[in-house]
Amino acid sequence: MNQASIQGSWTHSFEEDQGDVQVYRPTHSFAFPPARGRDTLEFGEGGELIKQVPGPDDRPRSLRGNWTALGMNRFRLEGTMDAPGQVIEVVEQTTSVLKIRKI
Amino acid sequence: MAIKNLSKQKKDCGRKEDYSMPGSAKTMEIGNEQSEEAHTMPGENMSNEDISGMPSGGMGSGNMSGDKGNELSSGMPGGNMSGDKSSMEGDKGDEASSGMPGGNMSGDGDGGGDDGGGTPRSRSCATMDVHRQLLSRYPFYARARDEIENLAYQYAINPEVVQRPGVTRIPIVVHVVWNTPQQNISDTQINSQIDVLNRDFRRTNPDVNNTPAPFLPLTADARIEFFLANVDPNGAPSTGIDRRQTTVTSFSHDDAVKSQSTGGADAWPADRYLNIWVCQLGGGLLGYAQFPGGPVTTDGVVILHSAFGTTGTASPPFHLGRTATHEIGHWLNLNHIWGDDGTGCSGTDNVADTPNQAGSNTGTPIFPHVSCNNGPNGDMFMNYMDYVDDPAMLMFTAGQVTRMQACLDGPRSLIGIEAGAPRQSSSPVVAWGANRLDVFVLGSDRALYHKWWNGSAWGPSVTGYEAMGGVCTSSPQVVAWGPNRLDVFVIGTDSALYHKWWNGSAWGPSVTGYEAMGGVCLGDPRVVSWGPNRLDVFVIGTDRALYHKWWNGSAWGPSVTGYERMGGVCIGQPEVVAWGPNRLDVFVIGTDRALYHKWWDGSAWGPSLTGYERLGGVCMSAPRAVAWEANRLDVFVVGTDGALYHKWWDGSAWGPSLNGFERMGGICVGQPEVVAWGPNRLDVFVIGTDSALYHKWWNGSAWGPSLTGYEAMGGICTSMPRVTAWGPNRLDVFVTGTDSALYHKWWNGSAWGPSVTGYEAMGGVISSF
Ligand SMILES: [Zn+2]
Repeated sequence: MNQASIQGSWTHSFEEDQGDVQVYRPTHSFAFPPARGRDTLEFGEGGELIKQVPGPDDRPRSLRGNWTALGMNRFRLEGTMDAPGQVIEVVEQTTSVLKIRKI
Repeated sequence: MAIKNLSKQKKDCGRKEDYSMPGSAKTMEIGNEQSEEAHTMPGENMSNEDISGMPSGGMGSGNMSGDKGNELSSGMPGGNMSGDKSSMEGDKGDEASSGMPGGNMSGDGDGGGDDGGGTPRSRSCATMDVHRQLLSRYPFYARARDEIENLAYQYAINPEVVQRPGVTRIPIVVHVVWNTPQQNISDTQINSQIDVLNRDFRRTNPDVNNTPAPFLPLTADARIEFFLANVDPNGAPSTGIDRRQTTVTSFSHDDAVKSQSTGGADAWPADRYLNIWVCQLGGGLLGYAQFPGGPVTTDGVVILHSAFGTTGTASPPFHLGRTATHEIGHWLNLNHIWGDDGTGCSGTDNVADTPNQAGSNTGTPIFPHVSCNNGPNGDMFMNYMDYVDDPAMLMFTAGQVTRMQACLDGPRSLIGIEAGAPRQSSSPVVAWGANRLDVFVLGSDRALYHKWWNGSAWGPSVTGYEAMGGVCTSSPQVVAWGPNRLDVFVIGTDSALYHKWWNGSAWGPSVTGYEAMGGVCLGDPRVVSWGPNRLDVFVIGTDRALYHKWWNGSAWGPSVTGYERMGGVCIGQPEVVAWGPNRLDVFVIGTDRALYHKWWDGSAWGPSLTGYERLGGVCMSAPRAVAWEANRLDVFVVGTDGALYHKWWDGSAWGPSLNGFERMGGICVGQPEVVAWGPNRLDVFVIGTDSALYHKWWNGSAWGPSLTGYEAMGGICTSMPRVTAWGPNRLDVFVTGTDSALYHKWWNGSAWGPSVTGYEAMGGVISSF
């Protein structure tokens, strides 16, 4: 697993969560069933992070921040409103799934 | 708008006086009958024909005899065309708040309409950061939101201030914006959604009983119902369903579906309708809302077609119509139950009786789900404002209901009242809002006098009156086109029409001054308002033709002192009612004493500008008409035998027939009075030959106490009864007594106050009412 592979847009497929492991799927290729709202994490090439969350009126809202690789499959997500200095651990990743755990 | 500190005291509390009217026999029996209900009126002939033509009703031509068919926009015959006097002749310029001449001088000088109430306080609770960011980008929206939140906070700490009594019924327009035929959902699917809303917002959804026991006592009836609009913004009959085919295969959350120019459908006026757009949404989105205070062109909610209603394309797990319940919750200012702070514990939904909760819940959680130290009961995930599946959400709390009601009293104060709400004809008595009454009389000096009920007390005092100047020759005619707005019309000694108005803070042109409106009028004017800032005035000219003038929000038509001539040769006073926006129905009695009718349908007068529809009968009183819903009319007159007669328009035909009337018994003196406090409800009041008040009512299925029977209500009345209903199941009746003072009685939903045959004395020496 390398740093580049986390890049791209991943959307929370919460129906597949297992305990504290959250399952994300590729935003643009996975057939998500309808939901009241889903979180999306978009990891940019240069370390920029765009997090989409459902807003107070259920429209998706974009929050901007940064991500940095800490090594050991851990990443720091910073600058978004609801996740200041959050660290996640990637527990599994393929081209079709990203499983993470909040540390 | 300032926050009102209305105390919710019922007006019949603390009223110990139980007056009978002077000269009133203290018994409520007529003759030797028992004091049960179902009295017949004295002198009543007992013939029991239900539906008959009125005695000697002729079958004349469709136009009234003597109709000269002149054209519009003339001055009235003999009209004084010089006049822009802003005061009526004989105006003595008295100031506010005196007792009436000869009346009890107990006025307490508490002038003006309502009290401003407390000052807004800032909300102290935290708000959502995301929301705040949005607010900072849109300062206008931010200001509106601040006011809305201040009001919501006032209500939250003091829920008794909620102003709307009973149930608010909100008209909905459903814009079905479809690309594939499947997306063009059926009327059945739409109706299934309306049914869900009417259960969820009334707490009549059966699954509310699945609320976990600790939360069950918090569940509450939001007192809101919804119906597909039956009148469109132009006043035309409507199904409330607007179908548009589009080339857009899938809409986003960018409001494109809300504008025809971007492939959607334009909103109907958001102050009068709840707009719901149903369409294909991309990105798995089920729906989105707009909070109150935003742009009117995008106000409303958007719902994915397969998450709408309970049948057709509705698909599990969003197949129970709860997406619309949730989105309309936002539209009524409810926040997400977790406080919109991601998964933190610092956000709030601004409601006190919902537990603090970390993030949203999804699917069908198992109770209890604990977060943010909210054990043992945990999250209220079964609340409509969480993110769970349709079968898992089933309740609002009392705190959420208060917040929604604050929204209905504040930023959405016109909805459910203005839209399609029938407007009664003018009268000396009007209620511009819940628990509010304004009464106008002429004193012995024929000047205008005013008193009001502000929800907790009579102003200027129980028996005092505010002096409003003028020398009047007609009974005052008042309408309210909106909250805290009054327009009063009288005829002066020169037979011209005069007008004054209360704009919410002051009387115009002055407390005792009047706007001169020209004309030479016979009898009383009649006024109706079919919508906000709209007035239509009808008078009879010296040629006995009907004349009309109107206020369109910015100017008088055809001119300040000019009138539109509408033909006819009329006896007595015209009657006018508006069953919806831009709709008028006018009734007059012709020289053959038959009832005649004409109507404005939003674009033209029917049957013609000066023509009339003949509705038969031989009428001995002016007609009184009421509309309890759109496209419904009930008209009452007194026949040559003194009995009350009734006919109705049911939306397609006149009943019992075009020229026929239903005979309702009694021997009536003067004109009947009728009000409708709700759909399919009528209350009719007449004065009997013994000068007592009598009452009968239609309860939706039958006449009470019987078709031809009356409830005896005592009194010796010297005026026709004047009645208004400020809310569902509420009636206030005013008459004058043999001492020329005003008397009042009221129905509070369960009993008559001060008693069935008793009256509250309200002072004054009244020459016309
Ligand atoms: Zn929502």
